[in-house]
Amino acid sequence: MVSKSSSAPPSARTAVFSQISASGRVEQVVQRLTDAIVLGVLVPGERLPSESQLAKRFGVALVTAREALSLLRENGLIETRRGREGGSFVTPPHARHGAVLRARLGALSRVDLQDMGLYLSVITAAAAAHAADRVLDSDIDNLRRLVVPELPESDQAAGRAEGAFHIQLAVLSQSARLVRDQIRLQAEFGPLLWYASDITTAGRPGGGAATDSTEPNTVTATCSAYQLSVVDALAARDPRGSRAAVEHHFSDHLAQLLEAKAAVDRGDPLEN
Amino acid sequence: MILLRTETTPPATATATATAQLTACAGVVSEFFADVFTQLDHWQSQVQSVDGRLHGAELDEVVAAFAIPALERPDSALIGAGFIGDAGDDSGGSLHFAWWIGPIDANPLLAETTQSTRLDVTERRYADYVSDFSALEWYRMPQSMKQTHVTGPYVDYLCTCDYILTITAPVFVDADRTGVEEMFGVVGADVFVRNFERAVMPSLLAIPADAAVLNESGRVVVSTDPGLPVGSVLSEAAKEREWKTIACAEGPFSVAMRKKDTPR
Repeated sequence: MVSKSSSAPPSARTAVFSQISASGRVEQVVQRLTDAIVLGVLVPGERLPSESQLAKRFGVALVTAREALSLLRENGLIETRRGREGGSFVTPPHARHGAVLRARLGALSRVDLQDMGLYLSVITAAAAAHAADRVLDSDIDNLRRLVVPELPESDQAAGRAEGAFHIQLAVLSQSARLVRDQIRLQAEFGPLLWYASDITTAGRPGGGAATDSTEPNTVTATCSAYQLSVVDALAARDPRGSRAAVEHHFSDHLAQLLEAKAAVDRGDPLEN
Repeated sequence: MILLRTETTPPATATATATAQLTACAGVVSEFFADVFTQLDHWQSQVQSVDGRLHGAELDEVVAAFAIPALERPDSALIGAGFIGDAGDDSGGSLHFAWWIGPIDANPLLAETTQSTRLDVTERRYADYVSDFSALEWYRMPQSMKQTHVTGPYVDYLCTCDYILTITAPVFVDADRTGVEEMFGVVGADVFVRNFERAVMPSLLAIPADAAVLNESGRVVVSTDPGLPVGSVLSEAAKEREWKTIACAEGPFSVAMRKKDTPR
C-alpha cells in the first residue's frame, strides 16, 4: 500500500521536519527524509522545504542540511531543479525505494523493532484506558465518526484513519504528553508498521490492497473491527476492555513486522 | 489542618466560612473569564469595519495589531489569540487562520519560541484528518448559539500541543443588508490550564475542604483533591451526593467543595 500512496497517513507526516538531536546530524536528517520518502509519507513530486527552511526546522546547521540533501540526491530519492520554480523534489518511486526500505528493515535490529512496538503499544493502550474514565458521550460520537469504514476509498485512507484514531484516543485521555508522544512515535514508526502489515497480507486471499474495491480486504476489515471494539469499550466505560483491544492490535501488528523483517533477513522477495 | 479547624470552630460558623470561601473562589474564576470576555468584545468590534467586515491582508493586519500585544503583555494569561473564519476572498470556503501563538517552551513536537508566531495550519500535518475546522466545538458553538463559548479543558493538538481552554466569540455581519446577521468567523483566545490554575489556586486552597473547578460537563479544570485529577469527569450523581457547588457568574464553570460527611 505504501508504495502506491498518493497521500500518506498524515499522522506520519508530523515529525518529519521536527528537531533533530545532536549526534550524527547529517545521517539523522538523511534517515528521516529517506524513511519519509520510501514509505510514501512525502509523496512523489512534492517539493521539500529549502535548505535554510530545513536547517531551521530540524535545528541543524545550514551545511548539515545541504549535505543531507546532497546524499539524498546521490541516492536518487530527490532531484533538484533550478530556477524560479526550482527546489528539491521527491522522485517517483522506483526499484531503489524497495531496496532502501528492505535495507532499513534489515538494518533495524529485532530488539529495537520490538522496543518501538512495545512503547507505541504501551502509550496507546494507556491512553485508551484513561480515556474510558474520562470520555463524555459526545466524545464517543466524535470518535466513532473517525473509525475506518470497512470499504474505505483506499488503503491509504485506512492508514490515515488509523493514525487519526490513535491521536484522538490520546486526546480523550486528556494528557498532552500522551498526545505529543503519539504523534511523534507515529511519525517514526507508524509507516514501518503499515508497510509490514501490507506486505505480509499481500500474498493472502483478500489481503493487502484489494483489487476489487467492493471486496473488503483483511487489513481494513481488521482495523475497522478493532477500532469499533475500542469505541464500544469506551462507551461502556470499560478501561480494561479498551486497553486489551489496543494491546491485542499492536501485538498483531508487531508480529507482522517481525515476519516482514525475517523475510528481509532471509532474502525472500517482497511485494513492494 | 482541616481537622484542627473543625475542632476549634463551632460547626455553623465553619460551614458559613466554607461557603464564603467557595463563593469567593467562584468570584475569582468569574473575574478571570470576565477579563478575557472583555478583550474579545473589543476584538469583535475591530474586525467589523463600519460597512460590514474586513478582508484578506487588511484583516490580518488588524488582528495582528490586537493579538500580538495581548500575548506579549507581561503576565498575560493568553497563549493564543486571533481570528478564524471566512477570509472574505476566494479561498474556496476553507477557514482562514489569522491566529498567533505566544512564546512557548520546547516540547517533543514544537521548538521553543521567544516571541509570538503565526499559526500555519499546513505545518500541523498530523491534524489533516480534521477535514472541517468549522465542525469543531470552538467554531460550531459560537455559530449555533450566537454567543461567546468556552471550550475545554482539552488537549489542543493544533496550536500549542498542550492542555488549554479556548474562548471564542462570534463575529457577525449583515452582508446583504437584509437585517439578518450571519457569523463570518470567531475572535478567540487560548489559555493554558496551568496559567488558569495559578490564578485560581490560592482561592481554591482557601476552601477548607477538597475543592475543584468544573466545566459544564463536570470535567475538572483545577482540583485540590488528588483523587479527582484535572481532566477527569465528576458524574452528576457523585456531584449531587458528595459535593456542594456554586455556579460562576461569568463562564460555564462551577466551583465544587466536598461535603463534610463524605470523605474521599
